Amino acid sequence: MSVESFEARLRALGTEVERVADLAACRAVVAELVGTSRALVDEIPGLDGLDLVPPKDPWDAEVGISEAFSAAADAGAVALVQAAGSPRRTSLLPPHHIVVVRAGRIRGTYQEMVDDVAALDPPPTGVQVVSGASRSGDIESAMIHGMHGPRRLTVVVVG
Amino acid sequence: MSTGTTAKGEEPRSTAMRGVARVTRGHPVWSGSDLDPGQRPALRPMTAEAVAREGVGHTRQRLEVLGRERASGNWLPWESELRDRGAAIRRETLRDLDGYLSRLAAQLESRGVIVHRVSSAAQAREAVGRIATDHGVTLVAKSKSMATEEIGLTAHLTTLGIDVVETDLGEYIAQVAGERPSHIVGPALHMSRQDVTDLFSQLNGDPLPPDPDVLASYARERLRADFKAAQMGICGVNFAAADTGTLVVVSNEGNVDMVASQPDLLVAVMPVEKVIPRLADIGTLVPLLCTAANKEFTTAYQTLLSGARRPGEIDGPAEFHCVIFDNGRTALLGTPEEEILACIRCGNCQFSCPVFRTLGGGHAYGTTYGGPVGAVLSPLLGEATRDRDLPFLCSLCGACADACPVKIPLDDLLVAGRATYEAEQPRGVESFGWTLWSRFWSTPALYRATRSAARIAGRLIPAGVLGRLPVVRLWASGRTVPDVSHAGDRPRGRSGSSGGSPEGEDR
Repeated sequence: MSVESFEARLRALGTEVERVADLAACRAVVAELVGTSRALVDEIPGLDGLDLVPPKDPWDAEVGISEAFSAAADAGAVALVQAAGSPRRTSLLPPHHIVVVRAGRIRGTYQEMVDDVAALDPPPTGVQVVSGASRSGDIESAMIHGMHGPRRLTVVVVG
Repeated sequence: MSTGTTAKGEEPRSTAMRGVARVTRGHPVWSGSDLDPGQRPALRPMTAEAVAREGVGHTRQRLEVLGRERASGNWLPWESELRDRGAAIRRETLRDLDGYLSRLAAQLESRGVIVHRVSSAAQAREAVGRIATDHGVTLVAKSKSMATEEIGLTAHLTTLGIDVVETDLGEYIAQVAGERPSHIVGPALHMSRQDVTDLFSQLNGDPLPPDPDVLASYARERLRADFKAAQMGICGVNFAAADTGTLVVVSNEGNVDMVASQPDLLVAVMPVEKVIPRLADIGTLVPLLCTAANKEFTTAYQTLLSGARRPGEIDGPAEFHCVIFDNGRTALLGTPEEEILACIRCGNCQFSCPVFRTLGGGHAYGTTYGGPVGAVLSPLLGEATRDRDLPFLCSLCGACADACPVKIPLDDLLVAGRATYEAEQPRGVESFGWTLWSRFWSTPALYRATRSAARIAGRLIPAGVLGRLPVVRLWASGRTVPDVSHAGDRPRGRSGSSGGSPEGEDR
């Protein structure tokens, strides 16, 4: 139930959604999405072995791939834990961000997702909660996409 | 195109600020970022100039649309629940602010954050200045923060020879224009698309099209170079969780994540009341803030920061400072005014306020914070007693209290602020007049005598002349002198007594 409402909420926010059965299918979808783009990839258990091109300078990366620690259906949000193996630049510098979310990590509410994060001990140095692509309404409230962070956000739900 | 060869000195170190010497700044003194807070113009000429300003009508219309979209005060059932919970959480820390701050500081320090607890605004900006100069910083990338506006941080760092660049698009627009933010969450709301086009075209030296996407791309490319080059990041704080030592910052653009993760040095600046009991509380407070501020359930990003970079990590701040300042706030604890410390800076009261909208935004308050929250808070901040007259920028309609997501009784506080102002005024002719009036109107015979006197005066002296007499003139400035030739008669089918209400003001 909450997987469907999560997906609906993501789409309402302009986020692309892919639903796959398992990690093998996830790897194929991610490889397809990335193509030959220069990619920053976090350490994602079960998703190693992706044959991707790393950028010389992280600022020149075209796509970043991370895994969500938790997610909230009502907010269409994913929580990314930033630590060794999952630096902050992955979700930030490239114009396209791909987030892998295991269906079992999807909570119904934002509060439940926050509770997941708050229960981490010690708290990770960084947690980034992402709900839709980067945006701004600072010029006469006209919606601008991809202000400083990614312009395009794709969520791949596994399971 | 006046590209001028008189650019002052060398080009700025900030890529985003290159060409800023080409910008002609035509804004009034009171909207400038260089306005000395103690030296703002008197309220009357400042507000008169604001309502007469070219383009203010369009700004007002935009603010009215935004106010209507928010339907301030019409909380849906789920929003009301959120509001009840949020209001309670915000009062929890006020009952033991020092205790929560101590817990927060201890948690921050245990995660490698260097905490600076200071009292005044001057101490706060000097603390940040020392951190920057100690590290030889020449370029700072900053994300939006009203607290840094309050302490005059950018001006201070600039005097130390440090370039500071605002990276939130609205703040960047305001910085290029040399203006203060005009709204808590929408710093450049007072500007039209054409205003931004003209501004960026001057900055660019060549015309840019009036297309928000193009203008934003222009800003993005320039600011991206600064994210990369800055040696230090400065961010504000929306919520600081005492239980985990986590600083939470909300944003839509992603610039907060940039300044808080790419430079090796980070300084977070917060006033004392940003502390919340538990990290889990953001489950309530973030949706409440975002709903009130922007009619969205959450912003695109919530950035949670818990300490400096740990071994094995390749980004995030290697050195992390947190400056916590007071600037007159703890003195409010235990008084009715402590309620204002519950504020979460959503800006909803500003959208809801007819005076704020009529003035075309917060500049004409002459202070960091405009609108209802500013009219309450500004006179209470700092050590000096100033801006005490701001509560008069209010129609007492009460819309702000209905719009407040944490139920601050802003209208009551505005009335209290007026009383404080009046109590501080020297007792002059006007006060003597009121004493005399209350003496006369407390006794029936004397009351009848004033009524007869008013009738006689009303018949003998035309209203136009009456309004120009000494003493009466004081009262009549800004008011219409009523016809008093029938003073005291029972109104028949007409509303109101001819004497007017004692304050001479309608609610």
